[in-house]
Amino acid sequence: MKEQEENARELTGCPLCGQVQTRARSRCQSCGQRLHPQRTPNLQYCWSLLLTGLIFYVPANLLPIMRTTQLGGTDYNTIASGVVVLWEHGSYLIAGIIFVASLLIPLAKFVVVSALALSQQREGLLSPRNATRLYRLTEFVGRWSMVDVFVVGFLAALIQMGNLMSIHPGPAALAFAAMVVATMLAANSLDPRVFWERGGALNAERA
Amino acid sequence: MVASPALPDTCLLCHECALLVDLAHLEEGQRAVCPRCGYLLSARHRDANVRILAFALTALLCLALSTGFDFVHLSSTGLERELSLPQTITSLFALREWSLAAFMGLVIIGLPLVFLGTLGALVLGIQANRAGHWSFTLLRGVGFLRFWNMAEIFFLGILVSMVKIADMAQVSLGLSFWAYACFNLFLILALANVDRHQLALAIRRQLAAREAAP
Repeated sequence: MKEQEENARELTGCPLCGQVQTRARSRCQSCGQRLHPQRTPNLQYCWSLLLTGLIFYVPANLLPIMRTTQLGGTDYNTIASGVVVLWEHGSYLIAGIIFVASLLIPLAKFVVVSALALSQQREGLLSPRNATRLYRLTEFVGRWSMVDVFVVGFLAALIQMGNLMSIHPGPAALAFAAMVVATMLAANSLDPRVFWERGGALNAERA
Repeated sequence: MVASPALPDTCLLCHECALLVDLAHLEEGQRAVCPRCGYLLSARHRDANVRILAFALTALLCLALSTGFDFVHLSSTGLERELSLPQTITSLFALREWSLAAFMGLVIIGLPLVFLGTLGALVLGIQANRAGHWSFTLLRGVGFLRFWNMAEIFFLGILVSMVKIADMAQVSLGLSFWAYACFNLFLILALANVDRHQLALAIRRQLAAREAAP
C-alpha cells in the first residue's frame, strides 16, 4: 500500500479520459488532453476571475435590475429592493429563494473561493477534507445564482402591455450575469487535488 | 509509458484527491466512491448507454415540441398576451436587449440542444463499436456543455416569475410549458446515466482493440 502511494506521486490522471500516466508528460497519451501540473498551483486565473466578479458585483447590486412601468408610473428595483417588495407582498418563499440565490450565495462564494485559493497558497488553513467539501458545494451551488437573471429576462419578455404594465431589464441584470459567470469560472479553475497533495506531503514529512 | 508494473486500464486517480484506485471489481449497478475524499469515482448504471440514448432522444423531442405551442398565456384587465418559448428570446431582441437575449437563448435552448446532440453522437459511436479519437473531442464537449447548460435554472426562474406576477395578472400555462418541463426531466435522467469514467474507458478499449488487430 505504501509502495502504491509512492507510485501514485509520480503519476497523474488525465482530467478528460482518466488515463493514468507519468507526470512528466504534458499531454495525455491516449486522448491528447493537456495535463495539469499539480505540484505548483497557478492561482492567478482564480484570483483575477474573482476580482472580475467582485468588480461586476458593485453595479449588479447598486443599479436597478428591473424597470416596471404601471399605469404611467415607473418603478426601479434593485436586487435587494426586489426581495423587500416580495417579502412585503407576503411571497416569503420566493423572497427567500431570491435572497439566497442572488444575495447570499454570491457573497458566500467570494468568501469561500478566496478561502480555498488561500488555503492552496498557505498550508494548514483548511483540512483537505473540509476544503474538498467546500469546493464541491461552490461548484454545485454557483450556477443557481443565475435564477434572478432568468426571472428578469422572462418577465421582460412576457409583460409588454404598453402603458398598462411593462417590464424592462435594468443594467444590473447583465452585470449580475457577468458576475455569476466570473465566479463560476473562478471556482472551476481551482484544482482540488492540490489540497490533498499538500496534506500528503505534510504527512510524509512527519513520518 | 505507464510506470512499471503496468497498471490495468480499470485504474484511475481520483479526480479530486489523486488517490490511485483500481475499479476492476466494479459490477454493473454498483458505484465506486473514493475511500479518501468521498468523490464519486464511477457508477456503472445498468444499460447506461441505451438509457442515455433513449432519454436524450426523448428530451430532444420534448424540446422540439416546446417550441411549437403556447408557452404561457397572460390576461390582465382585458388585455391578453400569448408567448411561445422562442418568443421569450425574440421579445428581448425586440426590446433591444441584445446581450441578455443572446445569453438566454444560448444557455436555455442553444447549449442544451448541442449538448443532447453531442451526447447522442458520442454514445452512439461507442454503442456501434466505432469510437475513435473524435470521441474524446465529443467527451470534452459533453463536459463543457454540461457546465454551461442552465435549462433547469431557467425552469426555476419561470416558476419564480409566475408567483411574482400572480397577483398582477392571470397566468395560464400552455402545452409548450409542459413540454419544456418534460425536456428538463429527461435531460436530468439522461445526465444521471452519464459516467465519464465508463465512457472514457469504453473509448480507450475500443481504440486499443483496433490498434491490436491488424
